[in-house]
Amino acid sequence: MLIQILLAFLKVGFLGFGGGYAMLSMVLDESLKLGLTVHQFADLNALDMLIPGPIAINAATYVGYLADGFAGATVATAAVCVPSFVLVPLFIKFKRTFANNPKVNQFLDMVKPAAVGLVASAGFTLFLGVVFGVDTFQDLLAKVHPPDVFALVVVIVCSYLHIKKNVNPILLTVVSGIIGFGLYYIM
Amino acid sequence: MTKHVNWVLFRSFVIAGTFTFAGGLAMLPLLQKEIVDKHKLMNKDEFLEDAIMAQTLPGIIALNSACFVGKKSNGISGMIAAALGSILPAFVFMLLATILYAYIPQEGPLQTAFVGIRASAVAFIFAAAISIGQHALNHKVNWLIMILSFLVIVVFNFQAPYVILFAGIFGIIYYSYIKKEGGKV
Repeated sequence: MLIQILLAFLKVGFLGFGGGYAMLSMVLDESLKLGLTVHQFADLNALDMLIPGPIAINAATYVGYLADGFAGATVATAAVCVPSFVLVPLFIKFKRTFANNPKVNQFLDMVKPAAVGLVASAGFTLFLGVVFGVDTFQDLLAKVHPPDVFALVVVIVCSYLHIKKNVNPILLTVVSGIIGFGLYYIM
Repeated sequence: MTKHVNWVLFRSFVIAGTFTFAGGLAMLPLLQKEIVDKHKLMNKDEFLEDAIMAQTLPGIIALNSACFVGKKSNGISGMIAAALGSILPAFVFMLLATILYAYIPQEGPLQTAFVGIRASAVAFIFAAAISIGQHALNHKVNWLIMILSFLVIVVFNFQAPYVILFAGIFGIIYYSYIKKEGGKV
């Protein structure tokens, strides 16, 4: 298990172009393979907002711990950090060759939009899991799943308030949780 | 002196890592104040140039910054001091939070509370996609790559790392053979 965790997070680190949220979509892939559920992954995003620090380190610690306890958390975090220790000294040493190579810029220029697609797909997978209770798009097409109306309303309202009105995400998370808590007693 | 520099590096990154919630970029001003203004370990231009490079390399942006600043200020030992400083707060706080989370019984009202919390998380990931997209989607080919990446993952269950590699390789081919004016960053 520890080896599997190590390899998973090395992969996330070395291919983690485009910042924390792009890496998060790879973490989703890997955490499902390590036996976590889509719901546990969604909870990671909530915890990540309450806990300071880089998203990828928070994610590695969380996924590693749920997969294999303290040892898992330590291995996952160490693995996701390895690329920085290797690549930064190399980059400083070979800076001129690297920065002047057009191939590098051409590679990165298309990785950026792909990273946007990755983040959107992670959001969509999460959406399917939370609203329809399915893991993949194929599962959704396979048979009719009634949506969780409360979850759907929260997604729409939070998207609107956060994207259009710039409302603080922590506030929206807490309020969504409180409304969910109260809903249990109403229904 | 070298001992002192490592301590300054470690402490600066611990402080920056403990008080920033919104990801790597939010901690730059705080770091700049500590590293450039107060302790003069490097000059401002060099610091900002490294911050940009940290985003270009793969891996964790905040940790890349720490490695750049640490390595340039005080060699390998400085790099390790700065890196540990930037990793530790996130690791410790997240570990405690995860242990607590694993203990919470998800039954009754807490179960519906979690439905609300998870649903709100979906909104923030969409928002992240939009905000990254505002910088990355500046011409038609970029839009096409974004949409294709999304579709192959969602519809055909492609794995994200392969999508990144394919997109990058396509970039090289596209700029070398189809639109010969070189990539720009």
